[in-house]
Amino acid sequence: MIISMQGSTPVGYIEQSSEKIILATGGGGFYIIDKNDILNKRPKLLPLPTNFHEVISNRNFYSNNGAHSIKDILIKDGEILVSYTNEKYSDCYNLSIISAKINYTVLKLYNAFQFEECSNEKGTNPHEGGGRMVNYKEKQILLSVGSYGINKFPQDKNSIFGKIIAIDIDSGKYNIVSMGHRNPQGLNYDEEHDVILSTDHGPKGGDEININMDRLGNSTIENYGWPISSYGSHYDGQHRTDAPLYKSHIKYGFKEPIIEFTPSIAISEIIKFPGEDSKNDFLIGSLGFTDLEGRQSLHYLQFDKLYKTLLFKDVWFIGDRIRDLLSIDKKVVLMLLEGDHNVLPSIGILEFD
Amino acid sequence: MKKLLLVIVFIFQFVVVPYAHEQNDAELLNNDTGEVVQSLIDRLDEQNKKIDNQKKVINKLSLKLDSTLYHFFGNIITHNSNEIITKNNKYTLTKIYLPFNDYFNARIYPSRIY
Repeated sequence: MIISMQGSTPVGYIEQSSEKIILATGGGGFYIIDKNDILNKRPKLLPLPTNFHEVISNRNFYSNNGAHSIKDILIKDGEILVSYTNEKYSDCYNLSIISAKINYTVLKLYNAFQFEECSNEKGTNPHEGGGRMVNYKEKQILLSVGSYGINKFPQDKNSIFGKIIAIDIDSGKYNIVSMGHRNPQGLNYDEEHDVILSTDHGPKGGDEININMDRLGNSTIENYGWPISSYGSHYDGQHRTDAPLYKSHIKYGFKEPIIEFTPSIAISEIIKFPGEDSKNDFLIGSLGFTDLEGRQSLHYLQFDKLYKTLLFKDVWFIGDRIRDLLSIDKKVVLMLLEGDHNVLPSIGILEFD
Repeated sequence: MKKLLLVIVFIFQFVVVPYAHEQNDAELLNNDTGEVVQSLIDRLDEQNKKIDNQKKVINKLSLKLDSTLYHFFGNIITHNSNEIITKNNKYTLTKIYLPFNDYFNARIYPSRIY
């Protein structure tokens, strides 16, 4: 029997090293699974002890509220990075990163990166926190930071909220790569074409996939428009002067999404379709509490080589909220599925020949 | 006179000798008590040390049991498979259910054994 499952609490995130899958639950439980066991469909889930609860000082982390949770995990250069909702100061929140050297006996986490800025604005909502991390150039990672529900942040170049940020993990130096994001829950770096793809979880409607091209030597900060432009609308249907949500992006000086979803699919992670070729094929996961078309599904999208046009689209209904995606072995995709009040969460294994 | 001697013998045999034996036993007993008690204390210390060691062993076994249970759950965990039919292909989707029947426990469990 499911006792206390909270639909909004992320069940967790998955990442891989050469031989293991690491699973971190939203609340800070860490587990390891042998990759071969996954491929043989006989995974053994082993707890991985950590000092997580000694490192985390956020008082709300244990209230079973998904807003204050782990937001993603990433392996880079022998370290596991963990993004999470941090209580920087009393009732002032931001996104921070803790890290540990990879060890399958115990993870000794330490504070790796913190922004000075935090939000204590009325209405601060870490549910809209983003938190995705992907490997970027050299020692850098990309981190998506959501708006935290505060409309003034995403268009403010001096704020880290509502941005995608490149961080040099060694030095801690960072720069803003793009802005005007609401809740970017999916992030992918196409190294071959030097293109950043991000998903943005919109309000009522207006989920977006955004393309950031020509990064080489490009210091321009792309602006995707939130909360001035969005194809979605506010949940209460009311107009807000600080968040008018104009439908056109380009008319107001912002970059249009390559594809938007209205009604919402509750968009989450984006990964490259597994395979040897260099086609611009991607899989996008969706969440949602109902099985309306497009929700709880994998979306297969194929773009042209220049990321100008969507060539092909298919929707594969999975039947569970897809929190995370991981491509392993170039022919298998793992999905971390949240289940619901009657179904346990699961790891979905989808094999491609 | 003869009667008097008989009374003296009687008293000596049935009163003085038993009393003397009783006194002797009491002294012996008193001498042994210290050693017995010391022996008992030593044995008790030994038992306490054994209990402490057993507690450590039980604790270690308990932690191993936790791990083993998860290992075991990992092996018997239920799963199901179904086909995903796409526009161009058919794929098999296998769902391996995770033993997180309580999100809260899934959130706190591993830190307990650090």
